Amino acid sequence: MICPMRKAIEKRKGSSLYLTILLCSLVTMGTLLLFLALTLTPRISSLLEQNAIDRTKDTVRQGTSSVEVYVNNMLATLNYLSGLSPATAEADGGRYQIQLDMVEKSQQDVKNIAFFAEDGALLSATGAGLAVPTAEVAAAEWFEKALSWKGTVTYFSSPHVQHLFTDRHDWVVTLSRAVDYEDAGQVKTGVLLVDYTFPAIASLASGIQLGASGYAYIIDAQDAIISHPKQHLIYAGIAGEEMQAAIAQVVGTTRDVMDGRERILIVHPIGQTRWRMVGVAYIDEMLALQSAFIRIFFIVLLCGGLLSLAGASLTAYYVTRPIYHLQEKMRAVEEGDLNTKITERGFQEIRMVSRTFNHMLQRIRDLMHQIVVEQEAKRLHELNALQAQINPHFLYNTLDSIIWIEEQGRSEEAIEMVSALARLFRISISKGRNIITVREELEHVRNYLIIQKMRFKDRFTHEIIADEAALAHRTVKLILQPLVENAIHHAIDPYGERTLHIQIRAWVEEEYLLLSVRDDGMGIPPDILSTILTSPAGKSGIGLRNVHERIRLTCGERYGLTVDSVADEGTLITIRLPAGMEEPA
Amino acid sequence: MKRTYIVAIACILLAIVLMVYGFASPSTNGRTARPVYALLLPEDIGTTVLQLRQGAQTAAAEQEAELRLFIAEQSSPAGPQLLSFLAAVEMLGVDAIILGECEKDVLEEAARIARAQSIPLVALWDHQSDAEAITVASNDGAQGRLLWEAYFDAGGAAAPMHVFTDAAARSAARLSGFEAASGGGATVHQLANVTDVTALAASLPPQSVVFALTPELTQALAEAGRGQFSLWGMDTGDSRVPLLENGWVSGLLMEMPYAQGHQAISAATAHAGKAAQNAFIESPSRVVTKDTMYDSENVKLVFPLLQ
Repeated sequence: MICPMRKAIEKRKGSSLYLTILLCSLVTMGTLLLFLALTLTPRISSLLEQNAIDRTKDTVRQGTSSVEVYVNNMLATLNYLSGLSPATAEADGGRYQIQLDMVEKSQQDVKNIAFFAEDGALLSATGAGLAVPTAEVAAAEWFEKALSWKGTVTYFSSPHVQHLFTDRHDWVVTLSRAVDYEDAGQVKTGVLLVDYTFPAIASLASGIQLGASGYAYIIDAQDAIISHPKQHLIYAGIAGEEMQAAIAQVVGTTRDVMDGRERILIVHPIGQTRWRMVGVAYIDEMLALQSAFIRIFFIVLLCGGLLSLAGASLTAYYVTRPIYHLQEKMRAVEEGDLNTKITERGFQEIRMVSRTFNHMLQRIRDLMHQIVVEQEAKRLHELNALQAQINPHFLYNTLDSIIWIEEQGRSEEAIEMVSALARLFRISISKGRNIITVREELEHVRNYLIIQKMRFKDRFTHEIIADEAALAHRTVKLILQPLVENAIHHAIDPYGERTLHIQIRAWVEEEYLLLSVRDDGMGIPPDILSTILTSPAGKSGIGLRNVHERIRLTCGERYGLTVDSVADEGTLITIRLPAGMEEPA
Repeated sequence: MKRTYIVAIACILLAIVLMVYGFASPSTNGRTARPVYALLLPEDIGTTVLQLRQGAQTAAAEQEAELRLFIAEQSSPAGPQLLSFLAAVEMLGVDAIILGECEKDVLEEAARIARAQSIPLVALWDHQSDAEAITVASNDGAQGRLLWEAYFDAGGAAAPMHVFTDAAARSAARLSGFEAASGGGATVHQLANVTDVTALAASLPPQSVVFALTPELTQALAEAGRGQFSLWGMDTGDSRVPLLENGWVSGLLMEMPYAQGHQAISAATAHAGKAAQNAFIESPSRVVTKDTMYDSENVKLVFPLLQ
């Protein structure tokens, strides 16, 4: 299955490499950042939230522990006092009273210590006397409860203003316990009362800070507020406290909403009492760190995205710049500037492409030069061939022969000679064509032979044998006449004792068009034969080499002349051409 | 090429700006500095002033404001000291002025400074003047009404009623509220001098019901009557407890200075940045009797927990 992105890119067919690199980099980085955001954010947020809640719980627990320590100290004092032997001053000479005074003085937080008889009568007390009737004491809850529990349980009051004693109105927490004492030989039960200053406890609770707005308060067993940082305002009706969730929770953690803000309530019992510490923390403050983290995290992600964009943009630019440079140079080449050279720079792959392109350009330049040279050579050879046709000696001799014949009154022969000469030159020019038919080439050599026959009369004979099929094929022009000329000039017997026979053939064999010129003359000496196709033109004109070169230039290396010669037997020159050669456009 | 560099540089700059903004400390990230409030009080005696200060300080801590206290010494007249405090406050530059009960010239000077610096002025008493101030105080007329209602709710029987007052504006407002609630019918005794109370009190029939509209008159009447008549008056401060416990007073109207101090700071914060304007924020009052003085909602008024 093809990736949809790849399909989209392929569909465009030619999208910018710069944009592709940029988009791929951005998609990769964006995917990574998104993955980080989606995986890390919830996890870390959850951890931070839980951490904040745990720290809040610990704070409340520590605050509760502080109160518990204080309460334990209070109980320890009460236990110590309970272990003493209560007695009136008359009974023990004031010893018990002294002990009570010592304890009160030694403990700053103890406000009152008193021992009451079963009926509420004050038996011993630190400080002032009783300010209320005995009946009122006996009816007080702290008294009744302590008696009913018979010393097994300590009564723990809520904070209140103690007004039992004359000129004393202290905020206290009252501890009371039934204690047995001996009076006139009888064991009786009385109630020991110890008042502890409440502000000390209140300050422990008010000192608990749970965030900027959070606080802690204490409620008693009846769910009434004992201590609250906003107690004044609550009683003034200016502030309020939603306690339902905390009361319902009893112990543990719960949440509620007050004044539109979500709160977490941590309810913790205070040991030895039936009080409960309620810690109130505001969720939005607790999670401020979480919010800050998320904010910073997303800012970091955003910055990462921006930096990725910058990096991707620069990377795409630096990757594509050498390619654009390459593109510009190629455009210059396309517009004809083959001398352009591409600077090899950039990535290794681009350098390789640049190097290869430079090599290609060099090769093109070399090939073009070679073509120019070959064309020039061809043109030169053609020029030479043409030049041979208008060789002054040949023309002079021919014209001279025409004059001589005409002077002899052989007008018809003169006309034939002039006609042959005209036809010779016409075919030589061939309207500038380089390729002519075999029929025309044979016609050309035939006219040449007519002229030469008139000059050399019976010193040579000739025959032209051409396959009908070969006549229509094409050949490079002016290739037979030079061979025949060579045969006439070099093979003919200078003494006239033998008649040279020249045979010209044309036939098709397989994929070749073959032309041959055979003579039965003296042959070519071996030393000349070996270099006959490479030596420059002889005194007769362009020479075999010219013909050979022209054929090879036009048709290819595997075509051309082959020369076979046996001394005193003759020479055979075979011309190999491709069959079915077309007229060049 | 240029476009690539522009894009890259723009992205990098934007990232730097985001990082700087994102990691800036809260104190430099748009949060303003803590507001500073000046609390000027003519005296520093009694639990009332202490509770007022505590309420103000608690509120200032809650709202993350700084509270600077300027309290006149008892050894010298309060007026000149308060004026010098105001001069210092003007130089210091604060975000609000909270002024305890003082003379008219001090109030006017405070109003001038508040107007010039476009800050709120909070007055802790019902000054009844033209000074532009946010008044956080008990409604004197409502206090007079409360006093009557507390007596009535306590089963007040028809009896000769006497109202003792003085020439102060607050007393007149209380009297007005009392008379409107009671429907009139009480004999009004306006005294120029507190010491005149003793003679008058001695002449009152035993079953009389006496209403005192100032703390001084209440104290004097309580000492003069010693429980011979039912006395309903204004909070006498530190002597309230024995007066209630002895039965020399039947009920005392108590203001809530802690709440008042708290309200004053809240009002200053609410009007921060604006010039003083006339507004009245009623501070609550409550009547406490011997029977209710130890109730949970009253006990902290009668016996304030001071730190």
